[in-house]
This record gives sequence, C-alpha cells and structure tokens, in this order.
Amino acid sequence: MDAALTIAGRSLPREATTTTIGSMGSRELTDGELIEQIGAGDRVAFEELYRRYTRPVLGLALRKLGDRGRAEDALQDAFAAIWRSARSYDPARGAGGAWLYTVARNAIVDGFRRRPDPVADLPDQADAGIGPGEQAEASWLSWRVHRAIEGLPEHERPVIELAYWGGLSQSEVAEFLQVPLGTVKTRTRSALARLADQLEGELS
Amino acid sequence: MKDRFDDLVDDIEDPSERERLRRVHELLLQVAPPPEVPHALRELPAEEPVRLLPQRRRFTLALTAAALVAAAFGSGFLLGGRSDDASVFRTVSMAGVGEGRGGFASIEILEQDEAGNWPMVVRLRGLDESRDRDDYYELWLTKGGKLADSCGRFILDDGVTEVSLSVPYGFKRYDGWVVTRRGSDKPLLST
Repeated sequence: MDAALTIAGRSLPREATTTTIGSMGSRELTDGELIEQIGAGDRVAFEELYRRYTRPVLGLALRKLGDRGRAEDALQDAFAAIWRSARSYDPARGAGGAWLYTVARNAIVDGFRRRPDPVADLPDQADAGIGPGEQAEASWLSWRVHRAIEGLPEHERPVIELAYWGGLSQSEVAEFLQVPLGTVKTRTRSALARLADQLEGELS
Repeated sequence: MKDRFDDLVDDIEDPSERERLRRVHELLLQVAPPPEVPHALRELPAEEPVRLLPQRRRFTLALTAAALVAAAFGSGFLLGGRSDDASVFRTVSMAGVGEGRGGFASIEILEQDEAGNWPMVVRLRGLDESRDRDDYYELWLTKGGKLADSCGRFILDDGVTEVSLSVPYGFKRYDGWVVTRRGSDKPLLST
C-alpha cells in the first residue's frame, strides 16, 4: 500500500480505504463508530475524528506537560496512538470518548517519559494544590467540555467562547461579532442546550 | 460571569430546562478555555508537501506586503473592510495575557489572493486605546514561542477596532500569533 502520509513517523494510507461517512446519510457518526471505521483503515474517518478532537487532545497535553511545543508534539503522538490502537476498541466496553481519552492520555504520558526534558511552566495552574483524584476528575471534565464545544455549530461556538473565556458581556459579544443582541441571546441559549445534551452525564 | 446566567438566558419558562442550562453554565465556569490550535496542526498532514514559492517571488511579495503595511500605518490604520465576496479561510482567536488581560481579538484569514498574499481582518477590543499615532500595536507570527515575523502595525481606538492587513507568509512555518505594543516585546494578546 502506498504510504504517502505520515503522522509522528507512522504511515497512513494515501487514499481512504472506505468512504462510509457519507454513506450514513445525514446522521453524524458517533465517536465510537468513527473509531471502528479507523480500525478498518478508514482515513476519512480519521480526519473527522482529528477535527473533533484536536483541541481536546491539545488541551489535555497542555495540562499534562505545561509547555506548548511539547504539547503539540504530544498531540501528534496521541493521534498516532489512536490510529495504531483503533482496532482494539470495543464499543461494549465503553463510549468512544472515554476510550480516546485513555489512549491520548497514555500516549502523552509515554511521550513525556521518553523525552523527560524539564517543563517550562507549571502543568496547570488550576490544578495546583489539589489531589491526584481531583486532578483526574478536572482533566476528564475539561476533556468532555472541550469535545462538546467542538460539536457546536460554527455560529454558536464563538458566542460561548467570547462570553465564558473572553469575558465579554452579551452586548459586547454582539458588538464584537456585529450581530444583533437578540441573536447573541438566541445562539447562547441554543448552544447551552446543545452542551447540556452532550454533557448529560456531567450534570447530575 | 458567575452572576450573569440570567443575563445570558433571560426568559426560560420551564424551570427544569432553566436548571439544566444553569448546570451547564456552571460547568463552563469550571474549565479553562480550549486551546487555540496552530494552523499547521489544524488538519492532518497534506499528502503532498506544500510547494514553496520561488525565493525571488517570496522576496517580492515580502516587499509588497511591507509596503502595504507601511501604507496602512502611514495613513493611520485601515478600517473596515473586506469585500463581501472574500471568504474566510480560517478564524483565529486571541485572548489577553499579562498586562493585556481582558483583551480579545479575532483574526479572519481570508482566501489567498492572486498575488499569493493572505488578506486578513483583525478585530480587537479590551486593550488600552493608543495615545497617539506613535503608540502603535503590532501583530506578530511566532515560532518556537518567539516573535518571528510582523504582520503589521496599527493604532487602537476605544471599543472595537477593525484592521485589514495582508501578509505573504506561509502560516505552516509558525506556531502562534501575538499582539505587542510599541517599545515592548511582551505579548498582550496571544493564541
């Protein structure tokens, strides 16, 4: 098989071996379904999974490593591990998101052990002073929230990011995005409802 | 932000739905923002390496861009701007750091033009207004965490300032964006 594309030194097929994403009609494949297709060598599925999880994986690597350059290296290590390991995914043993979290976290930690350079900054200021169990819980929560954010429509995601992490009021978001205030409120409510659907397990 | 839930979603009649959204609101307050992903990592590696422009053409483009930036700066700054038919290639968000905390910017990178330049529209808010024309801010591309290439200088108004810039650089060589103020290389906004 031609192997023109590599990630972290691992070869991926030049062409997708299947194009099953489109064959499912308008329904979006779950993460687990994508992993199963990746396990069968589907590069298109891998690209879709990469799109969904780039920011969650990079965020996880940043929390673990505290250094942006190393985190970006770890991002590639993590996706190489996902590509390699996808065949071992068993949907009966858990959801795709949890499997990805485990594989990515292990790849990030393994990469750190192989290249134990001193980190530039503290791993995660928010984690300072809390125990390992709480850190793990916070890390998992961030992973879930970041993944859910990536699932928002393009017109809703900036509204949430500006309001919660840009520190803008609704009026300021409206001014910044040059849309009416009512539109910002509608998009915010819609986005929160979508996130609530996605994060059902975290809300109880 | 903690007390702004009512402002965010006024008028939800169903108490259970209101409570559900409030719990999401509280979750969002607990987590750090998702990181901005460098352009080079946004997609899986291309099947063919990006073809670099011939050296001479790159030099010409760099001169052209420098002239454009100088012209923009000389006339104050470019406001407004992009043509309606220009489509956005990528949007990058920047947040305030250090003395710029509270600032925010978005960079809309438009499709590459025929000359090979990347036009972009930068919107900024929350940084101190420029005192005069010499008190300029500068947008940089970074590499290895250091300032690498300037994308242009501009003066900030109170409120939202919109600046149009154009650069010839291939973004894959860089790993981030920062905004600095004249006389300092400390980032005020960063990806």
